[in-house]
Amino acid sequence: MDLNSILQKHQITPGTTKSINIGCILLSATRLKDGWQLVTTDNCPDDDINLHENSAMSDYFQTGKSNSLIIAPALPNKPLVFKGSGLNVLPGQKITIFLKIPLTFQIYFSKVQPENLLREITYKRLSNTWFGEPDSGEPAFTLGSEYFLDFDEIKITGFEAICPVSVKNSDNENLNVQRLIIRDEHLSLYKNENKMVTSLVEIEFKGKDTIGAVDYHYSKLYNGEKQEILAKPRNSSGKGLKLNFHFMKTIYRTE
Amino acid sequence: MNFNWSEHFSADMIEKILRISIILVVGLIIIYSLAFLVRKLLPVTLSKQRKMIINRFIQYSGIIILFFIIVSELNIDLTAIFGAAGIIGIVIGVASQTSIGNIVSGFFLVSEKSFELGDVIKIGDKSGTVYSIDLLSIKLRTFDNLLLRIPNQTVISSEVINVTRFPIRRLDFDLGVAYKEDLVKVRSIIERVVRNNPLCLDEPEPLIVFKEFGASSINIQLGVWFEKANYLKVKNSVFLEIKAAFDAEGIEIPFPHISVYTGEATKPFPIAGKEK
Repeated sequence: MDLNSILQKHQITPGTTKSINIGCILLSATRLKDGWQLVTTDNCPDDDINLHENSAMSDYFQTGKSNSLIIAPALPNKPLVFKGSGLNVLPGQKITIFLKIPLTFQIYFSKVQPENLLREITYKRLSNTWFGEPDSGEPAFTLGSEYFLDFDEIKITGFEAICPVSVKNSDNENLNVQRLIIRDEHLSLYKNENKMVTSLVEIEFKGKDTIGAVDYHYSKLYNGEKQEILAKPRNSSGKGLKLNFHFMKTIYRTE
Repeated sequence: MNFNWSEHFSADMIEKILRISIILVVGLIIIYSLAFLVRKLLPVTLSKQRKMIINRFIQYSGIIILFFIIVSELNIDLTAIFGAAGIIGIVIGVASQTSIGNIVSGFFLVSEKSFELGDVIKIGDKSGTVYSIDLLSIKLRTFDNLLLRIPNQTVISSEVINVTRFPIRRLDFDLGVAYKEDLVKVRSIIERVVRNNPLCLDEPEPLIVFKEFGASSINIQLGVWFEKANYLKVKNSVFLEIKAAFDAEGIEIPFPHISVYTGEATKPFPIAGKEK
């Protein structure tokens, strides 16, 4: 199922069911008299024995009279961790890399507003990880280690967005990017021609264990001439003072 | 036998009892209302533990003040009480050594902040969720929903493990595979199981250690990291998935075998097969 046929207002009359494939997740929406029965079935390939019996999730939502169901794109509901492998930024240098971000789909009834949100679906299963030290840190999804240096080079599927990340090394030492967190709750999602692109993430690295400056903003270069917003940031306030880079330490003794 | 009330209770005394009762009731209402009001006004960000300490402080100070008001209302000479306090102190000290020890331990416990309300802790062989931290004891709600009271003195002198202090934990599994198995393959199966389990964290990386050549198996330790709230789900799912993956790949999980002999030790026990 192509993205345009997913991202639309689905009119479903009472007593009927519509099945929509969102990546490897199948959504079956049944319109009942005053509500919606949503069933999501996880058909994601699993190369191991699948013992997750509850792969189908069924919920009923009492919503009232509206027959319309809207599916809107969004960014994942946890931060994303990029695992840099061999990416170095020398002192005083600035680099812009592009990452692929898997999209989440939000299902609303009637119209897109927070109180009408019924469910969120991720088009594929994301791996959980931890950013930071085991006694502090924060939960996140892992993005892997793939990155691109040229915006036009990236080949993305309809279920992914491009995230431009600009890193400036203001420290006196080489920045070997090991783990970089993208706090996507502060990002907007824009449509630039046929691509979905997030706000630009601008990070200034000021040294290990030092909180650097980070900014998330619209960029004409990557987000297009006219601002076509597909999703607003989940959290537009308080960008917080948090570490953006994490450097690995061996936590197991080698005895 | 007729009891003459007027001999024992004069009008003055009844008035005094009434006055003290009113002071007591009104005083208690004021103390508890004040504690309630402060609890409501405290910022939401303040931990349950701190809220409880502030609340208890208001209640205990209020009760002490109320006690002195009632004593003065009864026209009891406080100087005499204080004069006798030294002797009384010794008597009380000897009589309530344990209680005082518990109270002092309680202060250390609160200031040390090894655990807070709502934390899951282990003390000796007991574990549960911290339900309340009181003057003399802490109370745990055990996982089978019992209230367990542990004196503060016992807590302070015991080893306490706070299970839920940190946001993530590692859960260890001890696995055993037969000597004939290819250990590289075993390791890759374990890694795949952990990688595919959505509740296991990618990082910190799972720990896989080939521990020892055991009596009947090669023993492996697997440690998986997970968010603390998912403990049971992780324990059960990883357990089931490893067993299923080993079965699917034909990896033998050995268990102790007993050979039964009869008569001479070298000859096995005769087993007769049933012909069909």
